[in-house]
Amino acid sequence: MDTKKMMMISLSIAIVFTQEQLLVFLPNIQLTVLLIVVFVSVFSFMESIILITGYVLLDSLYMGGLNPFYLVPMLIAWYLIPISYHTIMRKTTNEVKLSLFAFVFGFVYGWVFIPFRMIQTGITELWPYFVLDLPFEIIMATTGLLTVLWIYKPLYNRLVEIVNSQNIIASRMYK
Amino acid sequence: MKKVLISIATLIFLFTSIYALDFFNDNGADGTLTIQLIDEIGDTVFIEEYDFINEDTLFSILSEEHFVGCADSSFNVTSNCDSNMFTSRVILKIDDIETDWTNSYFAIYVNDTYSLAGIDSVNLNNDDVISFEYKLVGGDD
Repeated sequence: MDTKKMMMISLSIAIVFTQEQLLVFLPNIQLTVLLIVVFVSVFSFMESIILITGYVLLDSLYMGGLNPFYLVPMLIAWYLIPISYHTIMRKTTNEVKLSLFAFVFGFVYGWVFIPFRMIQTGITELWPYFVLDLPFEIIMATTGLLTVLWIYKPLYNRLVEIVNSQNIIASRMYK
Repeated sequence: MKKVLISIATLIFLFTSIYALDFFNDNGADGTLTIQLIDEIGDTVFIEEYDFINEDTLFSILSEEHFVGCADSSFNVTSNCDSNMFTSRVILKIDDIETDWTNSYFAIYVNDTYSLAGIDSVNLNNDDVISFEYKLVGGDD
C-alpha cells in the first residue's frame, strides 16, 4: 500500500470518528453507515478492513477502554459491510440497492451485540435484548437508508473524482 | 421519483413504529403498585406502595419520593434525568445505592420476572410488585 492510500485511509477514519462524536447525543443517528459504505465502494477489500479496524479500535478506546464486549461485536458488524459489498452486493454503486442494504444492516448491527450482551450480563433470555434494542435498530435502519439513498451518490462521485485527480497529480510528479 | 417514494415509505415506517411502541407502553388503568429496592448484598432498602394513574411511568413514581440518578451520555451518574426523545432513561443511582453500568447495574423485575422494558416503558398494572435489584455484570441471575 502506498503512502497516499495510507493517508486517505487515516483521514477517512478521522472523518468517521469525528462525525460520530459530533452526533453522539443523538442515539443511533449518525452518518457512519453512509461513510463506511462510501469508503468501502472506493477502497479495496483489504483497505476497507484496515479502515474499519482502525475506526473501531479508536472508537472503542475512546468510548469504552477497548472493552471486548463492545469491540468484538463492533468489528464483526462493521466487517459485514465490506464482506457483503464484495460478495452478495457485487460491488454495486446503485444507491437504491445500497440503501436497502443499509436498512437491513441497522437491524443486523443490533443483533450482533446480543450474544455478547448475554455473556456480559449473565442474563440468557433472548427476547429482552430483541425488544429493548428494537427502537435503536429502527432509528439506525431508517437513518442508514435515508442517508445512503440521498447522499451516497454525490459523496461517491466526489471521492472517486478526488482519488482519480490525485492519481494524475502523483503520476505527473513521478514523471 | 423512486427515491422519494422509498423515503416516504421509510418515514411512514419510522413514525408507525414509534407510535406502535408508544401505544404498547400505555398502562392498562389506574391502580396501586409496590416498589422495592434491593442492595448489593440482597437486603431490602425500602418497600413502599404507590398509587398510580394511567399517565404515570415507573420513573415518575419513583423519582417523586426518592433521589434518582441517571446516566449521562458517557454513562456517568447525573441528577439531570430529563427525558430523551428516543430512548428510555438509564438509572444508575437510587437514594444511596449506586451502580456504574460497567460492573454493576439495576435489574428491574416486575412480579419476579425480568422486565423486557426500561424504566420509562414498563407497563404498570394494579397490584404489581416492581423490584430494582443491584446486580453485578456477569453475575448470577
